[in-house]
Amino acid sequence: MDINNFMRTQKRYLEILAEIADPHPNWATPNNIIYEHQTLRLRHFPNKRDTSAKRPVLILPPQAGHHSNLADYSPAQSLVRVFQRYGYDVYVCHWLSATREYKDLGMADYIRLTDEAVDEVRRRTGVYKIHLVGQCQGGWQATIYTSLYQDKIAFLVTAAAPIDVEAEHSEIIENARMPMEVFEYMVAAGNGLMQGKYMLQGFKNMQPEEHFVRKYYRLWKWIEEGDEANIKRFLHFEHWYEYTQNLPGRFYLEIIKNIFRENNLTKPGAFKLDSRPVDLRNITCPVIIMAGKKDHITPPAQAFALKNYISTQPEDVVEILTEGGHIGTLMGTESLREDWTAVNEVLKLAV
Amino acid sequence: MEEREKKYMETILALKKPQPLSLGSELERQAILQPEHPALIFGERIISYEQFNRMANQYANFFAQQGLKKGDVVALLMENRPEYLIALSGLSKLGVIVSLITNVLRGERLSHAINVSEARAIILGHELISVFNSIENIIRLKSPGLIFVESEGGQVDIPANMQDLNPLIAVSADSNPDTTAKINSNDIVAYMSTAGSTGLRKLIPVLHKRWLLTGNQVAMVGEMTPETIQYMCLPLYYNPGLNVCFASMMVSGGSMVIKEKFSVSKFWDDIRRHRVNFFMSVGEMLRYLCESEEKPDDIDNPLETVMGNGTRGDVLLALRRRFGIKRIIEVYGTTEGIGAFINEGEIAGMCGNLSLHGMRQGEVIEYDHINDKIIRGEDGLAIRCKPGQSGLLIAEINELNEFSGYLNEPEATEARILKDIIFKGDRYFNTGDMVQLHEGDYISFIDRLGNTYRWKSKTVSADQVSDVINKFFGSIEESFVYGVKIPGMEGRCGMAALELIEDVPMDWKGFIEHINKRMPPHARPIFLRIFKRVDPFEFRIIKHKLQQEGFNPQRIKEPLYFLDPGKDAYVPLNLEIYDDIIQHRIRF
Repeated sequence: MDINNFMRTQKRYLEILAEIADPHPNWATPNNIIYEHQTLRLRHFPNKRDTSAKRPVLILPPQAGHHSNLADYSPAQSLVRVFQRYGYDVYVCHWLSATREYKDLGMADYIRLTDEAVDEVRRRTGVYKIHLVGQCQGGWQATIYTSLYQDKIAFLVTAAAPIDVEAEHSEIIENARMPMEVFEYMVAAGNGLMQGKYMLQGFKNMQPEEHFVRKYYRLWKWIEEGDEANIKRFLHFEHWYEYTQNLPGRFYLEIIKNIFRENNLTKPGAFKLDSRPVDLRNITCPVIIMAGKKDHITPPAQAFALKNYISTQPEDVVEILTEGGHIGTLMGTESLREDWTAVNEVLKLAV
Repeated sequence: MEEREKKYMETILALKKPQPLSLGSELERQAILQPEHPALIFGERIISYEQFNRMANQYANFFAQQGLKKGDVVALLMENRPEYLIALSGLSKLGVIVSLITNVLRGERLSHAINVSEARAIILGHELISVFNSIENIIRLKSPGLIFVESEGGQVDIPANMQDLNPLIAVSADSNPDTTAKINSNDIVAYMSTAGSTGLRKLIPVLHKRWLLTGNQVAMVGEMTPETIQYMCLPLYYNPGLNVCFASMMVSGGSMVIKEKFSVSKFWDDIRRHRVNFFMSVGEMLRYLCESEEKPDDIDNPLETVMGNGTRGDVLLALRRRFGIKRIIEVYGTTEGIGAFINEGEIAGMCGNLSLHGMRQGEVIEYDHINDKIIRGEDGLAIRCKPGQSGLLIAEINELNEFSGYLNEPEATEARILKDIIFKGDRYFNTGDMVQLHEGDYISFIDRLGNTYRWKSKTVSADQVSDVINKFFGSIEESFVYGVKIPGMEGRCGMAALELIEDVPMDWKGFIEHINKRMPPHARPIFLRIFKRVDPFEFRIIKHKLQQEGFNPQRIKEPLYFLDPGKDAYVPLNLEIYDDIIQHRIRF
């Protein structure tokens, strides 16, 4: 490579790095904010076609330091659009970054906010029971919600959601077993908030070579080769991945304790939210459980274990194992085409 | 009028009122009249009417033991073979409605076709077990939800959730069930599936009355006798298979040679071997026969009558000259349609006639293409076309020709019924087809209105094709599907206007796999036209213009792709390929 080419490549490379230093993710599909309270912003994605489906769908994206637009990442990778194509009226809980004002919100508050979103959707549509879809951390949240408000949910769909964290080894669980003081220290360092940047660092540390070396090498190569399509995709992803948001410290610590350290979802009544014991046996509706074959964050056994703790009849539990990993299961093109299509076809059977 | 013809006519007229007649009663009648006479011929198997009836009884008696009764539904997913008709006939003796599932459907379309019929059980041909397994998760059967596999008595690996039907049937009684006598002509014999004029596939309840009416009409026009031997290579779940051929064979007491599918290379050998004298053809079958290599013994064949649906005039003449076919009768019909429009005069290019043996079937009325509505006079009534004019073909709804509607789709049903057309208070069925009226009330087909088109004599719902394309997530932003004409071919093939998602490379390999997995061959779009933006609502308005522009790469500036049948892949459509298509060097 001559020096001029090198300089040009380097200039572009640094420009791109500078751009992603200030990431700003966007929603891919037109939507309206229909309700806001505390850290919840409920978005409605009007279907430009006739909504032929009987029930609306509410998506709970994960709260793990990333933006909620995972559910509508890009025109090519949008779970919202998949549901829209199947005739659904789609709503998404957009979880906002917590400010100091909300540092003391806990799991009970997030279940309450979920209930506010569910009730708003029910009020607007006039449908008594809706479909609830939880992605990753949104999956256990949807599961807890359904166990407490089963009468409002027609179908529960969880994707890559950790339920029984002891069912299969994963690094994230290993990390969660660090002394509780470590997590409390991080929350204290954020003045009562768990900063998204710490969580992102945690994810990156699970695949350090990819996140600290390989992707930068690929970017350099694409610039050299003038591969603008890949550069554009890289930028789009980095704007999502590098954008972080904060969680209320109390919420974070309760999750670490109940979900990841004590595996309390598998123990009926082991913890209470607003004085109500969380017991997954209260779930009786049909359930679809998705998991990714190559998911290193939520290994399949952790997700599929849900079926062992609910009262839903076995014939009403559908398990879908995708070929992808964690992110691939949630928003990969292949997963949207094949696996989320299967989810929609099953949902169509719901009365 | 000959005695036989008179008898057919008497039955037709009697059907104006409910009669104690049904598929089951006809089978039992033939089993008594001519027990030894061959009914079904399949490979080396020859099944007499008595055997046919006994086997049907075994089905009836077995399913009665399973608790199935009149009004229940059983889905039937099987390829062409005698068991198809035996199962249908047996179940019909109980009054059980058989939902005939289109076996070329796949994925979501197939599950929808099964689910919408609300069947209590399904009979599955062993050849389709893997197809069924691929959608098992999304199948909904009503209680008891039994899945039976018809294994042809062979060694078949049957999944744990299914039962081998053959040993169960074998030990069932073969006597006539007493339920047959309780079925009358106004009961439902089967559900057939149709693309309709818009939306998802719909089910049509077929009454015994319609089955008998069509059977007697065809037998009368085709001058059928017990000596008539039909060649059946059409899917038995289609209107021509069920209502035209099977019904006419049964009411005339003739025989039917059943084939899995149509094959040009085997056709004449089969015809000669089985002494076939009647053949029902749809779409391009006759053209393929005419385009086959000429042989010195072409004319040496027993085939006397061909009934066609979608046969071009030049093909009809060529067929007559080369193969010496005496009668070539063109019929017009659709799955849900009513009335019998038959070109009995065998006039080339005509698809039917508005009258059949003095019975008026329908009219051709003036139609406003631009505003998509019927033109009415000052009196509010429609205006009948004159010979030479083109218009909308409508069929009179009366006590004989009833429109049974789409199952559980009252709005779609109502949309097909026209009122106050010729007289105040009358009702007509809107065929949705444009035809030209000719002297002597003959009609020739011009085009299909609405969101469907005909290709290979099958109705394709553009909306459904578009729906499948739009679900190729990750590459397609929007699509609009319409039919375009290929010169020299009947009907229109599918063309999809696509808007691709910006900055995302189109996954062509994945796309064709997606299409093949979810659509039968006739529904797959042959051409793709890539637009910068596709708005289905706007494109619906300019559909006529798009159709006229066709697929000529010299006239169209947008990139065009062609579904190369040899490669099973979409390839850029260049002038050379275009020329090969126009010159019929590429066959479909």
